[in-house]
Amino acid sequence: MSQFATLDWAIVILYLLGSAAIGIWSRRYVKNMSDFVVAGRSLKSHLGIATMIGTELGLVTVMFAAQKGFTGGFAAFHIALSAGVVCLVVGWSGFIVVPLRRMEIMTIPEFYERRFGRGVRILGGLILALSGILNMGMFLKAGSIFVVEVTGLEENTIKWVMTALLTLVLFYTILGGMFSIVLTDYVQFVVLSVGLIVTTLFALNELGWEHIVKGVESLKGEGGFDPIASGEFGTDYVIWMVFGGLVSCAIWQTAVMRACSAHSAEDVKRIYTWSSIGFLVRFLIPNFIGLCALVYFADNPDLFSEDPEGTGVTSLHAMPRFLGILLPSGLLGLVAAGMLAAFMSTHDSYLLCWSSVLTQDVIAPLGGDRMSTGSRLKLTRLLIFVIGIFLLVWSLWYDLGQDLWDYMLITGAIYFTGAFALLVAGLYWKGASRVGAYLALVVGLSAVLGLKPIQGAVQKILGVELEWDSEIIGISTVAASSLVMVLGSLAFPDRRDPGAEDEAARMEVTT
Amino acid sequence: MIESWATFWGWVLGASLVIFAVISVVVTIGGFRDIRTLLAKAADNEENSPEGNEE
Repeated sequence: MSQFATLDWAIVILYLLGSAAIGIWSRRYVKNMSDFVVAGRSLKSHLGIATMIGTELGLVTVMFAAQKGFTGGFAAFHIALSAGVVCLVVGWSGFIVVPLRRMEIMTIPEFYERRFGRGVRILGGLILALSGILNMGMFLKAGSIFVVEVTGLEENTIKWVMTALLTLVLFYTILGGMFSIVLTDYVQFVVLSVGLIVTTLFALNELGWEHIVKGVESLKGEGGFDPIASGEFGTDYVIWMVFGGLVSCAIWQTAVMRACSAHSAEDVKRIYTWSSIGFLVRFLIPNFIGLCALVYFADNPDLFSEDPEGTGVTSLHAMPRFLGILLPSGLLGLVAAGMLAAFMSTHDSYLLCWSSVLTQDVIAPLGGDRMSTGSRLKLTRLLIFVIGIFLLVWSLWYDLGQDLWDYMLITGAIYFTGAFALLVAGLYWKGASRVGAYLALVVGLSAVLGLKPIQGAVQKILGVELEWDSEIIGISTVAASSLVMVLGSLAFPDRRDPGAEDEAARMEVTT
Repeated sequence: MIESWATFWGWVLGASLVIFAVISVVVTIGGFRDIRTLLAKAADNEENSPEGNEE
């Protein structure tokens, strides 16, 4: 069924080897922690835009966005539009990201410590790592589904593909990684941009615009076009997506790192303004490919159906299976190689990010920062390995029970609902206090109730029927975190010593 | 109503594809130049940095 051939395997292997070689070669330029984490704060606009889009446009993004297009039709485009418009507004205004760049911080927990103290950094770092690790919990499964469907491998090989991918990523990260490579991000940007545009044109040519519109209309009705009228979405979901757009570009650690890598505050604004089209397109094009898959498989029901005879095939499988059928050999190999390289890079960056946060922001501060650089590196490598094993177990065991995008937003919400309150209050309100920050972080943890298996467990314990949509949980948690931040700060303001006064004054000047 | 939505989403998709294609070309060329500058600067730093300065 898939057109994946020997030529495509050759392209994939050569591309991955080339990316790894570039990554290892570029390590020679890394001299210190600033080079390592934020590329010496020397990214100019063009490269900044390429790496921002290269990082955020990964295989998992394409998978979950395509799934939304498959399940929601054209109405899913509102997710893309929200992300693009919000990123544009952040670019114009510099909201959150410009003050963070001016403070010259490298991680969000570092901001927590400078604004609220060490304890907040440790708690915030722990929550950030927990949320981040859960958030990437489905990466392996999504990557494996992509490989199996695009190449036409047997469905029962998925566990072995997951293990092979994880081994490859761990080897790459521990041996040569340790650096989110600007150069490979750039190459990925070029390959994926061309690949996505060409794939869209192929899909349009194969199905025709009129046929796609008619197909979605017959399958979904008005709800396939209007997000408010859609049974899949609705007003609260649209509001949640607008907030999700803000989080993706201005609060999520990996995006903030890009802002902090910029050469100047003006570059931050320029990068965000131009990257807005990237944030729009990274959802829009996969959404469109997903809805093309929906129409194509409706025309050819013998080629795809969800969970036939308990095989576990879901809407997540549709887009890669469609690509395997649609694209000719050669182009298929190039697109698959670009996607896999993006998968490796995202995995590598995330593994490094969360293990570093645990080492630098949680374990080292708990030990009074007496840990040597060598010990920190050893611990970080050990944590990368441990997180890798956890991810394999989690991918095999966890029953998703909801769309991948909704899972990712809600696991991210464990961190970003509290982080939103801390960042906005910490940057723009002098009265924000340590107690308010602790309360907001703790309340943010309740976002975990948006996960379907957690709801199932709570349902069993309480013996009541619960059916909470993730967007309702998410919006409620944001509101509750912000409220306790304000109330906690008003009820328990910080007692300022002269040193703290200086720091507060300095921050006011910089923001 | 469906027709209006379809037209709207069609324009969003078309315009985004065109803008993204243009940006991709500009960023690809400009990014290549930025990489050359970045590596040249890093190589200078490597030559000028005293030994033992690594963290």
